[in-house]
Amino acid sequence: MKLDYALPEASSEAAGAALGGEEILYCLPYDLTPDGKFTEGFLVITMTRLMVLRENRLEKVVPIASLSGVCCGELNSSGMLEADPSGDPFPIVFFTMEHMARYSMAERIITDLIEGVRPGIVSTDDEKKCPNCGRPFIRNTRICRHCSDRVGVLKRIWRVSRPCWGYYAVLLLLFWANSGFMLYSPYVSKRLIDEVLTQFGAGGRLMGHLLWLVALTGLCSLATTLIGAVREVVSAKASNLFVRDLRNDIYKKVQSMPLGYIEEKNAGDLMHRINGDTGRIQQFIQNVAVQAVNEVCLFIGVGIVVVSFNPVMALLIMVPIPIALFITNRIRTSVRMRYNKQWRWMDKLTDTLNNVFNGVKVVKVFGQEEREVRRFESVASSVRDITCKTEQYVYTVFPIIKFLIGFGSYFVTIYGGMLVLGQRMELGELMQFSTYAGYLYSRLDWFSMLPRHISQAITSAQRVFEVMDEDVPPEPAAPLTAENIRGEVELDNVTFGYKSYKSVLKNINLGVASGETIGLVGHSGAGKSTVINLLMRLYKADEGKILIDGSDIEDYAMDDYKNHLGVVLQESYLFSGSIINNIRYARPDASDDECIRAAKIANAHDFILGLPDGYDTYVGEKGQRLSGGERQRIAIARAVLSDPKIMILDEATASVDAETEQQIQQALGRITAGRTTFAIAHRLSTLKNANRLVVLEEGRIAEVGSHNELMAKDGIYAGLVRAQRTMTALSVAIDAPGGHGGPSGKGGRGGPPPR
Amino acid sequence: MGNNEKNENKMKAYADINYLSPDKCEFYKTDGGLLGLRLGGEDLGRVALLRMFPLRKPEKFISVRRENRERSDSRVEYGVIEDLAAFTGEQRALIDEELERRYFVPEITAVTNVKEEYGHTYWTVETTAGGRSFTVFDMNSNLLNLGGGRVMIVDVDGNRYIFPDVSKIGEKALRLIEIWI
Repeated sequence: MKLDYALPEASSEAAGAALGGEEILYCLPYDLTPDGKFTEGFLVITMTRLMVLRENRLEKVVPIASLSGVCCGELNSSGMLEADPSGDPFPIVFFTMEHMARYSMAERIITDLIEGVRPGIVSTDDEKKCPNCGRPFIRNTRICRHCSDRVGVLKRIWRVSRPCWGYYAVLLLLFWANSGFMLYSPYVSKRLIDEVLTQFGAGGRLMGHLLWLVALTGLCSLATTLIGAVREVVSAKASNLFVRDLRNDIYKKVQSMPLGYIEEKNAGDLMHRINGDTGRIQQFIQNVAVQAVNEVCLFIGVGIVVVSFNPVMALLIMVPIPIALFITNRIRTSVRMRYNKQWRWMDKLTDTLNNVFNGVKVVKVFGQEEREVRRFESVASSVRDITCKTEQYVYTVFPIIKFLIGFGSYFVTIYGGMLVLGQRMELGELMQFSTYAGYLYSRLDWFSMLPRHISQAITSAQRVFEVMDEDVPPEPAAPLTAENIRGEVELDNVTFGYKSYKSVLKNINLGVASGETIGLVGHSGAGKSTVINLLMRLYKADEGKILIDGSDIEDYAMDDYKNHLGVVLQESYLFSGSIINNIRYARPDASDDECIRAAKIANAHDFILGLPDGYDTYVGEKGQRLSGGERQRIAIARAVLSDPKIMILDEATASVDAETEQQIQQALGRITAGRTTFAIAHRLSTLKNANRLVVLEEGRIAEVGSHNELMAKDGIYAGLVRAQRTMTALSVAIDAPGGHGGPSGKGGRGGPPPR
Repeated sequence: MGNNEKNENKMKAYADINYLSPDKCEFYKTDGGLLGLRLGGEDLGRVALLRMFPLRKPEKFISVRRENRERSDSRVEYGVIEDLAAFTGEQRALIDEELERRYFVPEITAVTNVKEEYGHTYWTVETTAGGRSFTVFDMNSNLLNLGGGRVMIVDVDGNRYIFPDVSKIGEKALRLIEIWI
């Protein structure tokens, strides 16, 4: 994201004197006046002052020394950079949403300046608009449809499809052979008419010739049919070969990208690129690309034949074409809009169903079945009406267009008919000519669709190539192989943010001895999960280092490092398959014996044997056939199996009931013994076995110590514990017999926090 | 007092809405040029105004909320203006100014140019806030029919614009958006 706009000359002059020769560190545009009118202006940031310029005039100068803070505030659909948010605040500039992210960074820049630090902030976040033409990029990409090199993309599709070139050559030959027969067949018809059918009174004399010409027509037809069949097979083979390679390549690439990239693109978008976009390219190659070469050749060929045949008649065919093309184009847009509308209503119908089925419990509980039926009926009627209208339109308009396009043939027939009657042309010749004219029309129809096909294919190809062109973060040149690590972890001045302008962790320093258990504590958003994300190497620290046994975490080969890491998350993801395969996921070479031992340690063995299919039980998609606690214990078994030196537990017992939690805690107690462990738990009672608790507050370490030490300190941790005690007391009160929570006694899960 | 009665009173207190009338409160401009509030003689400093129904009833139910970060005040909502019509003159002007600043949704008065390219529509318009060009993508999720001919459109950056009467935006523009309305 650009933070160093160049000031227009007139603005530079206006700023000149006030600038006092100081260097401009950052210059950001803004576009709203305080009373909500669009304007053009710049905020100039130097080491000692902020200067606001509007429409080339210096509006105000704010000395940094006079500020105690700034804040980038999001209003409902605009933004404001505000000075002194805690004292007597005043607005510095207003801007539309276009500049929101830019001013979030300005907030950080100015905060640095207030603290006397020279800001080194360089944004790596992407602009949403093409710097060249100002048009927005295709969503989630850095592709500008307008400025991208479309021919270059087509060339690249061609290069990437190299393994299919042989097939293409065969296809082209088949197309040409087909075209040859297509062109030849009207000539045979012409001879049939002129040499046989119009020789009235010739009797049996021409019988042999008749049979021969009919046989020739049949042969032509048979040949085109056969060639067509072979062509379909070859082109399907070629395009499938191409798309398989392409899909594999892009999938491999996505797998090798860091988590940050995958999350930014979101799963749906990537799935669409891997499946949808490659499929569209396949369709393009199979149905359009090779055929286009042939169609062009055929069009030129037929054109030459027609013109050389009779230039006047050729002209007559051409007359209605531009008009017809113009009308077709207009009507296509209108048809597309109508179909869009129809699809939109169909989507609404699906949504309505989806909504009701997902919320069927609510519908039943509130007795709203009839209302839902009425709502569905109303949408269904709209769909019916719109579909009828669209179909009516399409089936009326297209035959008319077809008639219009073919209108030239009537002129040809009149003119040709006159020639035939004047005996200046044979009847067969006229028929031959009409057939060629028909070929020309159908080619034209095909061509009119071509730009859309090409445009769609180019967009899909660009989306695919964009992923392929991403830089994969390099593995260390000489990676440390870590067969045995001790598990000492040190965070050395670590700073990190998911967005470059917003640090989530700030200057974290923490040394952890091998075998120590660290409980990470803090309010939500304090940075607990971020610490473990960095330890899992899902992201890389922006500043500072994480050291494992004294060496930088980035120097270890990724696979090697992950082998020493065991992870149990809040919601454990099981892959569709058997329990045994899910346990084995961490170490595919583990024996059955080892897996069973792991399951026993994880307190999973007994419940697994309670299932009819034992370890072979199919867990369903995402493991949905098991309960949350069961999935969690399988995840623990999975973590145990790789015998990791570092364990990460992220809210491992948050979503299970009290009884299951006890079993899981027991399992976790077994597996964390002797291993360096980082644990996050919402319920502080589950961290009572931790050697040290690290309290994070707004991305910084606020307190470190044992439970007793921190309680004695009476700081943030003590506050959190007290809050939980109150909560527990409350829920116990509600659950108590005679209370208002009902007699079940459920809900007070988790037990009391440590005292 | 029985337990039930106690609970009921508690519930009432939670559900209570403190409606603000012009005689109870006084809005003023802070030194920084923002909106401040004096309520029953107490100076609350800077406040924010939030519309409860910004789309359907922009003039009704305005929540007056704490924005002063210095105040360690347990109250988040100082009160609610039930209907802006109750406030007149300078007080009304101050409220309108704050609301306009927070809800920046210019009304489109004329469409100078509009064209569609690859699913994006490019607009050049005159608005109540001045001339502007913007781009809209995916009309399906960025166009909201507010009823009575009012249509809201959201551009790729998240800025909002309103057509006060969609039937008057011109044939070409209407054709581009009519299927979404």
